[in-house]
Amino acid sequence: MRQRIRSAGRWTWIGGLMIALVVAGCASPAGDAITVRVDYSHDEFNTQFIQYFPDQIQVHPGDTVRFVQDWTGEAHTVTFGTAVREALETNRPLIEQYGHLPEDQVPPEIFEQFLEAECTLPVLFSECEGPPSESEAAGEAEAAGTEPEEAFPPIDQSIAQPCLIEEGAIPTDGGPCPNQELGAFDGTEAFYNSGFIGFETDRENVFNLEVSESIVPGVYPFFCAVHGSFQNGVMEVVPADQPIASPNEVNEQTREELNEVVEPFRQVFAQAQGGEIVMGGEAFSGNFSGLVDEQVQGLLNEFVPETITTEVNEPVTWLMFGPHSISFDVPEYFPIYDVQEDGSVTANDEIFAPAGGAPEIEEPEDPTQPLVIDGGSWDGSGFWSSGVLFSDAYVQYTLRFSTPGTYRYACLIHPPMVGTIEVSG
Amino acid sequence: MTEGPARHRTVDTLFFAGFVLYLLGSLFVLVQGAMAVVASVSPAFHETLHIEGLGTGFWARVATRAADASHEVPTALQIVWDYLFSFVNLGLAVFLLWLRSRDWTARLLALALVGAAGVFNLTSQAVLEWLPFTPLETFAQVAAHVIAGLAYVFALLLFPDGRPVPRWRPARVLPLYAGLTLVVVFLSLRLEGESRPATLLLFFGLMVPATGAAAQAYRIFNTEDATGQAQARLLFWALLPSVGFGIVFLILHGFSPVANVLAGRNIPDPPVTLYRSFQPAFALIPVALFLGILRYRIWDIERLLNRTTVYAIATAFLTAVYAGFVVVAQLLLGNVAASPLIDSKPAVAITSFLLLGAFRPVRDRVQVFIDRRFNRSRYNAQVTVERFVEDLRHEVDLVGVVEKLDQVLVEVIQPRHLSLWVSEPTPRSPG
Repeated sequence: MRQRIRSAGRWTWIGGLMIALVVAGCASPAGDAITVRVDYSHDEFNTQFIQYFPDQIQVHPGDTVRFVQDWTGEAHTVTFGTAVREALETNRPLIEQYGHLPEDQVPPEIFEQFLEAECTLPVLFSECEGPPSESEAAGEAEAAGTEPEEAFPPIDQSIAQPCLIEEGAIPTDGGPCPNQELGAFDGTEAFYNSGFIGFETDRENVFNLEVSESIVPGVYPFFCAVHGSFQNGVMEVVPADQPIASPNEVNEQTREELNEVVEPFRQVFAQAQGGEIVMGGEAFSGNFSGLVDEQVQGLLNEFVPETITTEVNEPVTWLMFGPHSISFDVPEYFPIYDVQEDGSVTANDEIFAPAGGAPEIEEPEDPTQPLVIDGGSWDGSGFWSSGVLFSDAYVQYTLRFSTPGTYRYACLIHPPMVGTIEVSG
Repeated sequence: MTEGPARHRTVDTLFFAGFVLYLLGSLFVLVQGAMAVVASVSPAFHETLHIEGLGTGFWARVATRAADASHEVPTALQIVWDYLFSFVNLGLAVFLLWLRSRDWTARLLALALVGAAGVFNLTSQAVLEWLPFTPLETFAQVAAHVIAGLAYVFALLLFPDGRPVPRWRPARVLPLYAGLTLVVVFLSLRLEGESRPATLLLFFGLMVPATGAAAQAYRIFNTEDATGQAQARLLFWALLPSVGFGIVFLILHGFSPVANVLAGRNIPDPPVTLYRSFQPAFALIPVALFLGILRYRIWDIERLLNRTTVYAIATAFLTAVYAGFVVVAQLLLGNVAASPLIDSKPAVAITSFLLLGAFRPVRDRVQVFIDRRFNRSRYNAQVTVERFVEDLRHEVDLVGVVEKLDQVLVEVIQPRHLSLWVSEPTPRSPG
């Protein structure tokens, strides 16, 4: 009898341990928090979206909102503030009305109105006047007989690092904000910026927004200070006694929005796998490096076909849609952005420049025309990169291989985007 | 006085708690793979996983892994092979522990088999690889490999008699074993961050079978007992293909075919060739162990098999009788469901009591039949003892009784040496 009791005690102990483990496993660090996806990496093909999912949420004062970013190679911020609200009050209706149209169909005065509002905000990829662009810097350097120091424009640290400005103007000197302690968001701040959402893993890079208990119910728009007004969302704070969607219902809404936005990509991806895509009424066939769709605010980051077979010294040509690179023998650690010891964020210039003997990139005379580049030949050894290429139309890039072998290659600014070349003798 | 047993109980409790935990971990890995397989054929489940995955935390990661990996599950044949391999390992592990719950060789083997079930299931491992590991997941993965590797190595060193090889004094064996443990742990920690497949290759592909083969070779040459030699030989030959395969693979390919040529990027790139090559070689080990246990009746397995067979046959017989009873009732009374004989609670109760009452006599008869048919020695012993008891009723001569007793003991127990002492009755002193 005593033995049985002892045995029962042992199994109770083991059972208790198991239950404790299961309970601990089930517990989520923020199980009740509403989650907003910033960008999204789709499971059927690699994607990048300049969007928030969902782009409209409801919260109560005192709630925490988790902004979760998949690392697709693109930095994002979550930026609130009275300045943001003012700019978006103008731009959100414009985007809704004209955002789906091709640029040449948007009236110029609308563009001006849009830019006027957006240029009140710090935006990294901005069309506003600011520090000299890459080409301008290169031109000035050439005139002065020196090489430009950076291939990427300097990064405004009030965008890249957290920034809180309670009131007054947003600094434009490119330096870091004096106050980087964000605290709970109460809606009265002039500028409340997460900074680049910190990279932890390919998934689950999180910025937690704490909504202050004292916030006044109302609508609080937010945007991404990297990509500008086009990437925006709205957080509506409602009184605590008013019901709101549960985190799971918000996730269902997110999934619906994702399914909707990914459908055009699914079609263009299927076409590309079939060897031919139709874009803007024009048919393209061959090897594709990235794909786009006019209806989607994002990129499809895939090499199609994933494996290309060729022969030694035969030209291989890619049609490149969106900014990409074609890079072989990629170094083991090759970050797009670096965080320095003092917290400042810098871009890795080596990513953007050609390497290993690839030709220098020349600015196209007419950016609306395709950029045609002959990349020469690669002998199969050592880091080689086309550099990051982009044209408003598309880039046609040709390369030959002088040594037989199987080579994997990648786009340096889109980490999951890889392909394989099989070169026979 | 009670310190020893109390310590044993604590150790036992800790072991079983650890084993259950390890088993749950292994099952979790297998379930994760199964989720991806189900999601690959069920769009609704796939969608549910994605919605769950939009949250954060542990379950969101589980759901995301399964949903994302569902687009690249292996072929049906490969999935069946993976899970067959895992379930054979798991089944054998639980069976061993049930058979010899206090035996440390069986315990280590059980741990090793549970680990191998999770580690060598490519369908599941590919799902795990889909997202980069968190520090906690990395720790769990490394710990699982270390436990499985160490348990396998030491189980094969101790199998089957529990005596460590080489047969040195403890003062010499302990440093050797400690060194071996350190090497395994070091290799695991050193290689885990760089190339998991390389760890697998070194750990399970080379170290486990090589150590096991060496230990069994030692037993072949240092055991005088023919059965012991045969056991060691069986295991040695089962381990040899894995050793050979590991060496050939290493010579031909090194670690290059399993290294990620786009290092620094999280691109799921499971080492399919490595897995598919090693699985059959590694599957030989549990199969050989099981065959060895069966063939040489290690760990009283014949008693267990005998009992299982008897109960299975008795249960099947009574079930058949009950089914026959239902069919006959149906034929006689029409619809079974409408039959008062079948449907009424008293009828069910009476039938149950009848079956319960019949169980023991049926089991005894089946036991006799099984012993007579398959376990001749036991049957002969039983018959001999019964005959001896019968003879005692008629035998009055002490010398005759002693002769018969001597004969029976030799026949039943088969001792090497037998001596019988009959005490002389002490003469009573007159009143």
